Amino acid sequence: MLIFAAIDTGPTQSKEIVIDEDLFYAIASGDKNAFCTLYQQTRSAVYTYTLSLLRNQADANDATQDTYLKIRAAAHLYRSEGKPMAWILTIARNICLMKMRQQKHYASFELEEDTPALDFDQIEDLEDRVVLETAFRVLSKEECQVVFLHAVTGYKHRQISELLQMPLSTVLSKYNRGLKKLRSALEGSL
Amino acid sequence: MSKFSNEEINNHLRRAASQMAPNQVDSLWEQPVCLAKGNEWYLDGNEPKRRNTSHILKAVSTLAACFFLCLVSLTALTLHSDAAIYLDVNPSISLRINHFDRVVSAQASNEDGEIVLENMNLKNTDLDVALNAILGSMVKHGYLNETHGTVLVSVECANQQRAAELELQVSNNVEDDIDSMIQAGKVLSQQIRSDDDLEALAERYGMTQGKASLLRKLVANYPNLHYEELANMSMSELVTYLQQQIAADVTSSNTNKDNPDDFLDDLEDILDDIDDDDIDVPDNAVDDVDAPDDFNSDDDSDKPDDDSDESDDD
Repeated sequence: MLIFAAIDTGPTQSKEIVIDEDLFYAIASGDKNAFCTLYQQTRSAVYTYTLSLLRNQADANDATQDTYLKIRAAAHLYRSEGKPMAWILTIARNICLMKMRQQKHYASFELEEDTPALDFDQIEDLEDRVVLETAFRVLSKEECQVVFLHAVTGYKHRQISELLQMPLSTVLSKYNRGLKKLRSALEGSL
Repeated sequence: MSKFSNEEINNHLRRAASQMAPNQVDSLWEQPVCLAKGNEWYLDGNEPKRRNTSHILKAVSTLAACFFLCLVSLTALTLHSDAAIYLDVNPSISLRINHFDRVVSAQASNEDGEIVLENMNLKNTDLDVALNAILGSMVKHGYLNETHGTVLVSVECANQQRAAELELQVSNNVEDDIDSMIQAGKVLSQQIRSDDDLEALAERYGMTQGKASLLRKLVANYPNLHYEELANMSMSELVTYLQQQIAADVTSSNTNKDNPDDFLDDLEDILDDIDDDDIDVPDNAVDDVDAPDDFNSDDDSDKPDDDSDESDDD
């Protein structure tokens, strides 16, 4: 049985991913090290974001790969605005939306029901795996996005609101409701 | 019963995501990519602030450009002379008007005209008001009275429809004005097309291009008429003189040979029948204007060489 600290309901300070914007210019000029740095810094955030949108690991994997290929293709177009992560996640979202449109075009409702279950066996730490599995099981798609953007990307609620083009109050509501649901589910299962 | 803090949940999720995310950096770097141009679908929504600013800038720029164009157009329409109105009694006066029928400039073509326009600033006044002021001044200075009540109104405008409308509007206004001022008078109206010859002719004889056009038609069609005699006559004198000189030539059975006012109608018909394009100006009529090449051609039936002083000189 896992025992966690008992008290907390207040807001937390997640660690925001800090990206050096010069990395884009370096990537544009063919600097592989810059690409590796950017990839290692952001891959978790991009992958969890695509997974929260697509709810399919294979598709999320494809979307993540596509996102980085598009980053390479468009790095020379990046303009410094102090929001490099938003630039990356916007590309990721566009790719996911395109995938969803394609799937909607080809797939029937039956196929949608046959969507494979998420498999997190690769995560060695049991607590981490349980929390992640539970999150994908109990949270809605939007709650998932908000919770992961806050937890993994380190986005503040205001930034999530801008990225998802949602009112801040909605983001806060989804985040609190999502954590409440997650906490409740974890307490039941552990 | 265990409770998870937000911080703990976030930490678990962060660690799990890190283990779960693929690590394919080398293969991603090896894959060829096609450089984006900036309008690709996957870049939609990126750089929102810049796009918004750009949209606002575009909108503001477009608005400013439209405003500027409107301003320029309005200024051009206001300042640009769009038509000319020529008034000849004996005083000869040219009015240039803009698209809104406001006077852009008023110019006298002879000394009498200068007297009429003396101390008068007609710039930017309505055409109707300007006409009334000019006619009033003519009456005041004795140029327009019961015995000298004939006014030649000539309109020059590139737009034929506007020219026709202006001719009707101005002749009606002048007719009403002189009727109320001197309870007599008659208006002879025409549309003219200006050219270098006409301009030179008007300048040489101190009259408007309207009167010059009238005389050019008459001289070209009636060889016994000469510019020197006609140019110095007031319009009333000219009509009386023409009546005597050319009434006999008019073949219409309805020609009025006795009443000068009624003769004006015939004169209008005669002038209407003369096509400007058939008229040539002899060299000696305008010193600095070259005569057209076909001036002495045999085909020019309107201008018999033997009977015309101008032609003889050629």
